Amino acid sequence: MDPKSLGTTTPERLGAAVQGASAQKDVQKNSCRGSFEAHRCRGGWPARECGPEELPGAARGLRDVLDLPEGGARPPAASSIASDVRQLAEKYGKELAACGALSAELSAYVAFAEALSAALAEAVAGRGAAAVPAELYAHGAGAGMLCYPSAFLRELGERLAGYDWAAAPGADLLGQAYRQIVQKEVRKKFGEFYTPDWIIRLILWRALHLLVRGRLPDRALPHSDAEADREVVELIDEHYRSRGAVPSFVDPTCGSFAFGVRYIDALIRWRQEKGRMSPAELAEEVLASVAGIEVNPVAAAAAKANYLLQLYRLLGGARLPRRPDPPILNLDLLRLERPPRRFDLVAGNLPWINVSALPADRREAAKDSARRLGVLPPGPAAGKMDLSVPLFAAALTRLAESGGVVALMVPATIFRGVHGARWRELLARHHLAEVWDLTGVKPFDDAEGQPGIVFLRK
Amino acid sequence: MTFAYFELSGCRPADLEQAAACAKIRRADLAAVSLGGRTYWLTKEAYEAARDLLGASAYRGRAGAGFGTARGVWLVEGEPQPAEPPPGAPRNRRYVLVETRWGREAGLEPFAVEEDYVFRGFHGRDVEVGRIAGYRRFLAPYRRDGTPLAWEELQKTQLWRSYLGREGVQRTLKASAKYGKREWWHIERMGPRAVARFKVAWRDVADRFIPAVEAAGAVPAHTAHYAAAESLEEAYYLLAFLLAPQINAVIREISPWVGHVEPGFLSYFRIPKHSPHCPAHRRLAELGREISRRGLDAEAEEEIEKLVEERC
Repeated sequence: MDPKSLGTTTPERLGAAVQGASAQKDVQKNSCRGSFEAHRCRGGWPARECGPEELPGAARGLRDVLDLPEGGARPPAASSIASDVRQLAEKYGKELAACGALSAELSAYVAFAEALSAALAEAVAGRGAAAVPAELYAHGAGAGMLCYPSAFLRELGERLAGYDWAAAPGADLLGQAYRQIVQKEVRKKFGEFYTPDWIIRLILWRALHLLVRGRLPDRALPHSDAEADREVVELIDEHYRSRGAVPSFVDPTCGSFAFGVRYIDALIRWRQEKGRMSPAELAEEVLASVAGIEVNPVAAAAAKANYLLQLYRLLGGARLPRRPDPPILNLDLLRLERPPRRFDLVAGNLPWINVSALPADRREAAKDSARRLGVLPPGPAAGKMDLSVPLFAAALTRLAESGGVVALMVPATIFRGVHGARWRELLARHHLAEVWDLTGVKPFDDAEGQPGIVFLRK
Repeated sequence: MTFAYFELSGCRPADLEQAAACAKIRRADLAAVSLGGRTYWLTKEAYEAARDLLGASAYRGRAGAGFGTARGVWLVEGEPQPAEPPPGAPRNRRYVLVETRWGREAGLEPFAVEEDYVFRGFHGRDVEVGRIAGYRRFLAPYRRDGTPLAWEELQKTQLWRSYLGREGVQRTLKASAKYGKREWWHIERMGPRAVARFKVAWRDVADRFIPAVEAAGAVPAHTAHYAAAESLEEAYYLLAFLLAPQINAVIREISPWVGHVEPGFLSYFRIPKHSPHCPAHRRLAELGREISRRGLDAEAEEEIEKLVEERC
């Protein structure tokens, strides 16, 4: 049973949903990858099972979430969300996770993101939120937690209802909160780096120029964020007028969906300025054409919440005829052989991990994918391949529409040397427009490294 | 296929306004070029300069031997000292007293081994333009022609009795040889070519060729690469050729990360087999010999730039 399809429900149906979620548990566990896998408890997942009888009580505790559209007292900010999560983790830490503060904080963070998503989804559909505890249960199990205590859910609901979510910014709120919760050293260890907003704007601005006008802008940089934003709106409008649709977009390794949030924010501004669609029409268009893929379940939960927050902003009180289900796919791009659709714009920041640092099974799987995609470096260089190489190839060959634009951040190390030779060969078969080396501006607060950007037209 | 390349530097901007105000932007036009069947990106300038030199080489670059790996098991500390034959050892062979890096850390006393199993080698950092600035000694259960001892032979040696027969040494070497598909007492890439008398070796960590001639058969370590030559004249010729500015303009753009001049790079350039009858080759060999004595200067580099374009 898919707990997402529940809508308004009864305690009996909640119980049935729990049974279904239990059956999904192993599948979800196995799909967990990335940093969360490393954060989880040694020796297995926390063991407390919760019975179906506990959930109706939790559902009552979360009723406050139903009042979201009326708005809370304060606008949401990353610092206050991070503070809420820390307090929840501290108070309910032992019940949330049996293996330390970080695990409890991540569990509370996931619960916060999932509850926010569920509440926003219900709010924009104009329905009740009784399904929230069941979703929390299902997704919580996937994130390593078998049961959220009722008191925790009650308090979580109170905290969520304390914000005016309509006042959320057009930025990666959940990602910013995450960075305040999880220490820099831990994020660095797992290759989780924050992409500065100016780079996201730069990439979207140049990629849309290439997509819509067939060439890149003459000047390398716009004079300001505002100028880039204005031009992006014009480019979206040009695309809409010539093709009858906004450019479709996917971030192939979306993290908390920072690129997607910025893109939806641009679409919101486009609608406000050009008025070519109603909020509900654009929301439907966004749901059909703006997507993200993320292997890490924690990041995927944040991405979904970020996505729904932007839809909530976009709708501004308008309703959708159905409960929205943002297309954030929690899976490994390298295993996505047949994507549901192709996209005009493939943009994002790929993870940079030398495969030699991966566990043996993942290392071999990555090399196997690279071989099948034709980008496995020759000879001994294969052992030092960067994971971004097969991910780029998969994004280009499987996700990009013919004529579409791929604009992805990669380590600039693959611009040179044998380990990037096959990747460069792949690029030479398409219309490579330009590459950027950002090593000299050290754009990442939390990492050294050699960031680069590639813009190409498929 | 050409495309634009942008390099940003100068500041760490917080937004696009700051980026536009403080970032320095270098723009270049790049071309995707296939070298040795691999695709590289070169600036138009480097490509134009080297265009006539891109092609197949008569020489093959090889990576140096792995005597510097395995936690210093093979590396000899200091100079070996002549020693009397140990009790029971054949008296018709010469022996030396040695101490290895691994042995020193393990608290092992210096021990006697056959002098034949002590080889001369050098690391990449020992290679300077034109000369090898310093040498190392290392143990190797190999004949002087570079072929390894068979298991039965090995067990009859003093090297085995003094050192390789020890459990700790074997454990370290076996761990190191695990993925190499080789016998544990073999040294990776050690062989007849590595001990060849004449060769041109160059540093791995560099962003241009830093070549030197080795004329006494010393073995390059894994931090250096080399190409074997048939004569000293040929080695000097190759040394000079590798200093051609056109070649190094390309190397600078294809060497990855901090700069690695990989063995395969040699095969990307049209370096003809040395011919003593060709005046240009003879002059290059002369220049190589002078560079080995005096180092490289702008005048020599300019002459090399012209000579490598000449056909014989």
